[in-house]
This record gives sequence, C-alpha cells and structure tokens, in this order.
Amino acid sequence: MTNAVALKVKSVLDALRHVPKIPFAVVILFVLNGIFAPLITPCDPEQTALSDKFLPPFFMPGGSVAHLLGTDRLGMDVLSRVMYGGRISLFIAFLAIVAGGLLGSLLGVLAGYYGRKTDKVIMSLSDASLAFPSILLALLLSISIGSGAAAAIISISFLMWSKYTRTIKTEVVTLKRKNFVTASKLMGASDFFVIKRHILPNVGNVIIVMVSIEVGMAILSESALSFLGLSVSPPTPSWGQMISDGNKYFLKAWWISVFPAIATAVTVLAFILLGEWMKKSLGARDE
Amino acid sequence: MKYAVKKLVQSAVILFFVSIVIFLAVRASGDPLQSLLDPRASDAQRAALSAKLGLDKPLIVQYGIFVFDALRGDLGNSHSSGRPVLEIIGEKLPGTVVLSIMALLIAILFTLLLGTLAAVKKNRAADRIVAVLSALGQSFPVFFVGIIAVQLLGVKLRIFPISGADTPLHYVLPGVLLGLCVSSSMALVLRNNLLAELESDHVKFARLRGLNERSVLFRHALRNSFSTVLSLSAFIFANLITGSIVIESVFAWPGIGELSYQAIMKRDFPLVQGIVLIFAILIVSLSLLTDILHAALDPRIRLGKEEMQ
Amino acid sequence: MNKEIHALEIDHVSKTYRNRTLLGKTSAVKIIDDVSFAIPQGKTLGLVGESGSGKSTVTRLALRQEKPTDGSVRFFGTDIWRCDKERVRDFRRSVRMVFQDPYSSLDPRMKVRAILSEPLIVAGMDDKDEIERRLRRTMTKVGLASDYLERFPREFSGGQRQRIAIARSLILSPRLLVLDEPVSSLDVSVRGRILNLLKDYQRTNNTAYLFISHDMASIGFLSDCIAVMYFGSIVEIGSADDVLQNFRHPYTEMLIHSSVAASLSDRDAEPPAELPSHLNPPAGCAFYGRCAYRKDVCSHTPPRPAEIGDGHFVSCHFAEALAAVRGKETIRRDGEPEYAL
Repeated sequence: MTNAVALKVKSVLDALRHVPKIPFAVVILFVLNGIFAPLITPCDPEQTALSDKFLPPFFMPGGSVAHLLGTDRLGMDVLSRVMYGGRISLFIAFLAIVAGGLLGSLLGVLAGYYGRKTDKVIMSLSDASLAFPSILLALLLSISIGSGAAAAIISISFLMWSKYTRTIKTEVVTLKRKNFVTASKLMGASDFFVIKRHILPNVGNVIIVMVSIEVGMAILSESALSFLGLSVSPPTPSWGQMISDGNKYFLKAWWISVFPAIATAVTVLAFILLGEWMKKSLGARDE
Repeated sequence: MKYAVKKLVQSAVILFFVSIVIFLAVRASGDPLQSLLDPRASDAQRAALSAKLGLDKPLIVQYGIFVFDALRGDLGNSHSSGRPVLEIIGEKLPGTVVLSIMALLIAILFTLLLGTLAAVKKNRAADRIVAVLSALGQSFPVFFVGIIAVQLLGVKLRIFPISGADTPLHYVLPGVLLGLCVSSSMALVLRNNLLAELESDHVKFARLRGLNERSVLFRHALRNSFSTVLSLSAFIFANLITGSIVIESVFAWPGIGELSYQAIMKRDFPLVQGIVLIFAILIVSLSLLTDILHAALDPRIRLGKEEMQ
Repeated sequence: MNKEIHALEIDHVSKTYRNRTLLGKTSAVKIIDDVSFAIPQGKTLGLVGESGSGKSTVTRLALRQEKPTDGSVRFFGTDIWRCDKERVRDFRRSVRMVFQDPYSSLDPRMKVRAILSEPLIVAGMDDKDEIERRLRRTMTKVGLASDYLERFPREFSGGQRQRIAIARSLILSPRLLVLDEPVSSLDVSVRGRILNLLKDYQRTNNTAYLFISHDMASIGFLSDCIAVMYFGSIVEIGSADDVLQNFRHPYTEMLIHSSVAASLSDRDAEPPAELPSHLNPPAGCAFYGRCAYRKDVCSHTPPRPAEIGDGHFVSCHFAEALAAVRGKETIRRDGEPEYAL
C-alpha cells in the first residue's frame, strides 16, 4: 500500500522538476493567500480610519510602514484589501470553473459518447449559450437575486461551460473509436462502465489543461463584473471594484487602482503560463 | 448553397431558444412595476398600470405577443420613456458599432504587424517582445488599461477628450486602446499560423520556384493565415459589442452599453428584451456569416465527408 | 442423427447499407452477399481477403455488432438476434476479439492488472482471490511475467502488447475467439511466437477461432478450414489443405503466389487492390478485371458456388478446367509446431 503512495509522490515530484518556477510560485502564493488571508493581512481590510485616508505607499513621501501600499478614501489599508480581494477572486473563479467545467465536461462526454441526437441537442444548447452575452446575464441576475458572489459565479460559469463541452466532445469522439473502448463494449460492459472506466480518465488531462488556462479568464471576468458593481458589494474588497473606486481619484491617489490591477495581471499571467506549460508537457507525455 | 440553408435553419432554431431564455430571464428579474410606481400606490392603480403594459396576461400569451411583434419589427415601447424600443436602440447602437469596427480594424492592423514580425524573426528578440506584450495584454483587465489611458492622456496631459463621442478625436483613445488589447490575443495566433504556413509544402514549393522571401510571405503564407484572423474577428467583434458596457463606462461613451445598464437599473423590460435580442441576432448572424464564408473558401466543409468519396 | 453443433454458423448472410441523402435519394451498397460458413468447436476458420473484401463486416456480424440484412448468425446453435437477453449476455461472455493494432487496443491509462481484470469484473466476478488466481494463470499462459501486471501498456513492445490483448481475451476461457489480423502489425520475427501461443491454447482449451488475415502463410499455419473472400462474397472455401494445395479460384492462386514471393524476399504480401466500385457493382464475376483466365462469359454472368471436392466449394466458371493448366506452387503444411514455409 505505502509502495503505491510513495511511487505516486515520486512521480509528482518528478513532474514538478520541470514546472516553470515563477508562474508556479505565483499560483501557489495566490492559493495560499486565498486560504490564509484572514490570518495574515496586516490590517482588517474593512476597517475604516478616516483620519488616515489617502495615505501613499510606504516608499513615497508621507507613507508609513503601517500601510505598506497606502490607504484608500476611507482609510482602509490597500495591501490588506488586495490580499482579501485575492481571496474573493480565488473563491469565485474556482467555484465558477468547477460549476461550469463540471457541467460542460459532462455534457461534452454525453454528446461525444452518444452522438447523433444527443450531440445535436447539446451542441445547439452550447451555441445558444454563446449567443447570450454573459455580462447581460450578470446584470439580469443582479436584479433578480441581487449581486454578490453567487450571481458572479453563475454568470461566469455560464460563460465558460460551452468551451468545455466542445473540446471534450471532440476528445470523446476520438476515444470512442479506439479499440479498447470497442473491446469493453464487446465484453458486454454497460455504457456507464465504459464512460467511467475508459472515457473519463482519458479526458482528465484535457480538462486539467483547460481549467488551468480558464482560471485566468475567470479571474478577469470577475474583475470586470466587480468593476461594474455586480460582484461582491462594498465594503468587501474585490479587485475590479477597487480599480473602479480608485478611478475617481486616480491622479491624486493612483495606488488605489494600480495595485489591485497589478495583482490581477500577475495572477492571470501566471495561470496562463502555467496552463501553456501543462498543455505542452501533458501533450508530449501522451505520445 | 445547401450548406447555407442548413446553417440558416440552425441559426433560426438557436434564436428561438435564445428568445425564450431572454423572455423568461427578463420576467424573472424583478417586478417592473416597482420602479415605475410610487410604493404607496393603491392596488387599483397597480392593476391599471399592469393591464396597460400587458403584464396581466398569462406568460405564454405574453411570449406569443413578443415574438409576433418582434417579427414585424415592433419591439414594444420602453417602459420608462414610452418611445419605441427599436428607435432608442437605433439611436445608440451606431455609436457602439462604429467604435467597435474601428477598434477591430486597428486590432487587425496591429495583429498583422506584430504577428508577422514575430513569425519572421522567430525566436529572436522581436518575437520574444511580442510574446511578452501579448501575454501582458491578455492579463491586464481591459478597463484598467482604459483608465490609465484616460487619466494620463486625457486628464493629466489633456491630449484627448475623456467623455462623449462628439469629435473624431474622441474616437482615438478608446479605439486605439481597444484595438491594442484585442490584438494581443490575435497576434500570437497569427504568428503560429504563419509559422505553420511557412513550413508547409506549398510554400516550400514556391521557394523552389524562385520566389523571393517577401513574395512568399505576402502572397502565400499570409493569405492563408488571414482566414483564421477573419474568423476570430467575427467572434471578437461580437464580444466588443456585447462587452461595451464595461468600455463605455470607462470612456463615458454614449452607446448601447450605457443604455443597457440604465435599462436594467430601471427594470425597463421591453428595452432590455430588445437589446439582448438584437445582441443575440447580431452574434448568431455573425457566426452564420463566418461559417458560410469558411465553407465557401474551404470545400471540405461544404461537401461534407460522405460526398467527397 | 446427432448433428454436431458448430461454434459459429454464418448462414446465407448478406449486409446492405442504405444511405439517405438530404434530398431523399437512397443509395444501397451491398457489402456482403450470401456468405455462409461454419466453424466447428475447437477449430479454426481462416478468412482471407484484401481490404474492401468485406471481412471486417463479417467480423462485426460475428460479434453481434451489426445485424445481417439477410440470413442468420448462430452461436452454438442459438440465433444471436432471435434470443433473450440472458443468451445475449452469455454470448458476450463467451466471444472475444483480438485486434490488429496492439497500440490502440489497450487503455493507456490502465495498468495491465486493471486491463486483464476488466472482463472478470464485467462478468460479475468479485472474489478477489479468484481474480488474482486467474490473472496470474493467464499471464503465464501467454508467457508474460507476473510482475508485468503492475506496468502500463506504454512500457511494452508491440509483441508484448498483443500478448496482453490476447491474455485479456482468454481470461474467461472464451468459446470463440475472433482474431483480426493479430500479427500483421508485428515484426516478422515475433509473429511465429504469437501464432504458436494461439495454436497451443486452442489445443488445450478447445476454443474455436475465426482468424482473419491477408497473409496466406499465417492463415495456413493456424487454420483447419479456409474461406477466401473477394468483393463481399466467398470465392473459395474448403479445408486448409484443399485451399492451399488444390486451390481452384484464380484469386486464391494470386494470393498464394504473392505470399510465396513475399516470403522469399522477406516482405509483406499485399497485392495492390483494384476493387470494383460498390456503388456500381459489375454484372458478372467481380474478379473479372484482374483475372488472368477471364473469358467473355465471366463479364456478364456471376459464377455460383460449386462443390468440386468434399466440402470444397469454388465460385468460378472454369474451376475444373484450370486445375489442369495450373502451376505447382503451393504452401506446404507441416505437422511441425513451428511457423515454417
């Protein structure tokens, strides 16, 4: 038993040796920040201190070490808010991808495996969803169930699921033709068995690669939504919303917008690079 | 031809589905009477207004009326202003469309420039720089780049105006910015396509015939890679229009994005319905067009696999 | 009178595909025309033909993957399309297939252990010890070490993978094994061992084989009876000795000659296929275009199967006449357990 575990750990460590270091570190940092933010922020992200508003970052004149990245118009610490905003982004992006990815992948498997009618129905649903602009969906949702994390998650997952469906379906169609699937069917295995045992493990790779590339998109989408005020509401910090806030005082206090923007860009970039690497390395391994 | 008809039917079906979704979603998104009436209004007044707007009829009937009218070009009247929805949209849509087209053209220009440069100078400094720029362009939120541009070039340096769409100068900042951001994703795609083309058999053959490198590049490789750019363009154009909400708030641009935001805030059903429907029609027609164009250029798609044998 | 029940009986089977185009026009393509053969229990029928001859379709019909348009398919006496679900389940448990390509027939994500256990699990076996016992026994039977069970398919060569595929097919002691070109993708040096493995297994387990190939030499080694297919029909069928040494059909002659030529120059034998079009089938004999002995009658009258020896049928107008004119190149069948030519 322990032998198998040890072998698995070793193979994971082996794979990690080739990971591009910086993006991977950023991603790990992002995730750790998301999990532990409540414990490690220097100040309470929602604590206002009107006497300390518009403090510049510590490396500029007038800044203090107590607020490394400065404060905003209500005296809330920018650094803490950026960290907490990262937590929100992680949360929303992750859930949106899980929801959209799971749904999309499942539909893709069904469409690819059963083909013909099932395929047509699912594909037209997918096309229809592409025709529906997701931002409008978010706006609509905002007035029916209010804005907030749930609405953002639903909107973003709606935007994403059809990509999974399309890609997974193509993979499944190729897989279905392979002899080992035929062999299983000839044995009398049920469709469920074949899907569970042969199709799913073989599309796992594709899903992982898509997810890692999509996380970046999800974070950007959340950012746009919160910029419009359609994600979590103040005083809960969220990167897009902080950018929107800081817009009004940009020339006076640029740091309010710039730091969350940098955080967004760095995180998204890291995910994109990591996703590209995964695509390359998992693709090569399958040869 | 057969293919076009098939696709047309598919598109119609999709639009049908979408219209149902729009209808239901808009209805579910809240009570329109709330924002139009004084909360102290009596039940009788409420009932009267409801009847006037046709909101008391059963859902199916409302949907039927919606579709029937829409096919005749009547999208109802805005709840808030009383004017025909189509008219209001018609006023604001051109602004957004113009900006989007401009952004798209600039994007294509930049894509061609940067993508070609990157492909030709493969793996050298220029290629790397383009790759970095492209990655950055895709990572930074578009609206942030807009904010920086507005603040630095508009407010501080006062080179460009920062709101409205009155003079041609107004178009420069949002157009160029959008174009740049959009091109960042297309440039790499073009680069990869070009590289694949440059290594392909018929390009090698052209070189053997003695064509110089410049000819090879322009007459053969680019022409083929361009079709990918074109199909991406359709998709991006659709995104630009539907994503205009975000852009227009940064640049205070009077277009359909701003209109839709207002409409939803005021719970103006007919207006929201109309806007989303127009968007859907736009997207579906665009993808229909691209499909048909592709099929016209690539006989494999048109004939289907069976008939080719 | 106790008529012996055959493992597999294909009785006057035809298969027609109908294609409906968008405009409502239908085109019919007859892939298999009036094919009949029977495989006695524990014996091998070799099915020879080029690509396009219809042998893949015959395979699918035998495996109940497709329904015949005409005729019946009987497994140990039971018509597999006219029986209850229980019988179909029995059928699925007793018939196995080995594919040509050893690379796509094994799930790359599964360990050998999982690949071999799958038939047992699908059949409902849950006794872990019994499963383990069968795994090891079967691995030994195909000549693979037990610790290979923990490896993945990508760690094996083509020949070894084929052994794994064979092991998977044998693990539940099937009564009929369909082998679709099992050694064609393998190195010539490896083929002999695999074929010997199959021959030994048949002797000890009394499993019937349907062995499909385009290579006369391996067909000769393994088969008790041979059926030669061309353009959807059987042109010659008989005992292996008859077909290999007393062949009558010009197509059989062509196959044997090219096989001999190929083995002499150590190449693979696959004569270039110039088949007539299925959409426009010829009026007379399908082999007319390539036949060295063709006469006028061959172009407008299709030949019917005629019995020219005990259980030896040929579909050719001049089967008897040609026997005298023919050369003497044959493939000898030794009793030797080695793959020899």
